[in-house]
Amino acid sequence: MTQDEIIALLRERLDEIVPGAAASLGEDDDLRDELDLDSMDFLKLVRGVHEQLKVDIPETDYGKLGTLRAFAEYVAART
Amino acid sequence: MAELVFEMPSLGADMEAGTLVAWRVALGDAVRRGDVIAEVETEKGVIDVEVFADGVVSALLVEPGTKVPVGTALAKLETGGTAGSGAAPEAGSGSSVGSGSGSSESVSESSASVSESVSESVSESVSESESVSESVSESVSESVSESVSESVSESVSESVSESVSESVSGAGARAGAGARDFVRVTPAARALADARGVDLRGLVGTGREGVILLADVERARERPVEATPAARQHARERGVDLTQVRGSRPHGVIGREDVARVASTAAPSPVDASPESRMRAAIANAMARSKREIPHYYLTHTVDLSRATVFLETRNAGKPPEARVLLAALLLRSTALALRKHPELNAHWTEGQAAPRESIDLGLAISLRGGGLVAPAIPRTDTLDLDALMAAMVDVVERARRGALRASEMAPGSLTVTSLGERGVDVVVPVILPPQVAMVGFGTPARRPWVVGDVVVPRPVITLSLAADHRVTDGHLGARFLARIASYLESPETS
Repeated sequence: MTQDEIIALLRERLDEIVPGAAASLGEDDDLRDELDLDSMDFLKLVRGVHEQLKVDIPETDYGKLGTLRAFAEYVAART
Repeated sequence: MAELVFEMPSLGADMEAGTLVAWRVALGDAVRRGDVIAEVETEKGVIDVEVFADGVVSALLVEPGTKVPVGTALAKLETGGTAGSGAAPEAGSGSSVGSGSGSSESVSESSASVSESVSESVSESVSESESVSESVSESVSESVSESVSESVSESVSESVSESVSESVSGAGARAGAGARDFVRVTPAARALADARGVDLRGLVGTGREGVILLADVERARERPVEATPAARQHARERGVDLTQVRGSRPHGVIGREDVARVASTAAPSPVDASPESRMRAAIANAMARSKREIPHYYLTHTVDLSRATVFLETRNAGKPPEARVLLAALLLRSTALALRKHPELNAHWTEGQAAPRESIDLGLAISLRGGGLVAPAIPRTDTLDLDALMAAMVDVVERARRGALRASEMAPGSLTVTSLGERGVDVVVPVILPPQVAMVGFGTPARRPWVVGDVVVPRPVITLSLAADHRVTDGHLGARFLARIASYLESPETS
């Protein structure tokens, strides 16, 4: 899966959590700040990715997933 | 003889019209500068209006109970001097007599600004104090306070006898207004009585010389409500507060039809209000009522979260995201367990007393995207283990944000927990959600210097806060409750 595909998938998931907001999100924008995600939202995103791509993301790595680009790189390295 | 026209004064920059409540003078009365000649009601309360010229009342042009725009001629005075000469206002007089012919702009402007300061201070008294005379003398300059407090203490009894004959002719202009105006009551008490439909004539005032105070109206409301069983059931179903319903049955007993009437007017029609504005209105109602009625006390307590953090990390390590538990679940569980030990805080304030609740159903404050807030209850929170509680929270948050909560969840729970926790604030100072009697807040967990033994070390800490209803509990109990939550968080494996 290419990085662009992963980013598209992340946007899809984010759009379910924050309807309408994910499309305009820049790849280097801070996810939590821009979309006002709380820990419940973020867990939902991680759950979605895990479900779809079977990538395990331990809690201790949440700090590495601050932007769409960083998240996609992290996932790409594990698929 | 010159003639002065007494106009509806501007008692505040935003005032466009006022209601003449009562005349304090009759046709042919001689008045002296500083005499209160009328009571005018504005949105800020009832205000005594003085005259600042000597003269004789030659005409009363407006009936009590009539609402007229600022500047409308209310009465005429015959004065001894030439036109306008007796009408120069003195600073602090608080009156507003404009000469019919010769009043200059500067005169009316200065009187308006003085009047404004009076009306603002009086409006402060609505929330801050029980007695008009006290609040006015505290907050207005000496000269004004003297004249106003005199008018309250002295001229009330005069005006009662004098204005009886006057307002008979005015009766019918506003239903019940005539009789009501002879009750001696502070503006704050009258405003509350109006808002709640309390009949002032049935009250005994405990203020000086029998003046009805805010507290008297509060007490009136707290008398047990008499309602038929069908009315009570209907009120429960529709979420109507029976204390806000006026009974139409004999002896004021509330019938089902009374509840239905209130329920139908209380629910805004979907045609003229968006869901957002209806939610905003509901929040406004609940929070205004909370701040108006509940004597909150507040406590905070900062706790070392390091054991809780390690506990959760260990628990979640190696588990798929579906099985992970967030700190929020641990906070909620600790609160539920602590509430078991302090059932006094698990109550609803209804009909003037605390009614204990049987189950622990914590409300969870959930902010919605696009604004707004809901606080659905999680049934029997204390019986859920961490995994079950986490699942329940995920479910209810998801449905709340989708707008798919169940009616049963919207019934008020035990107490509400709010966690602004992830937005960087250190402490939440909660506003209790009526009819609940307490609310718990959690600030943002953060690493802070912490003394362990004789060493300062960085530790993750969180500040818990409690707002509780002082009518029901005292700070001592509240402190023990917070300490109990803290102890569960400090040893999470036992909770």
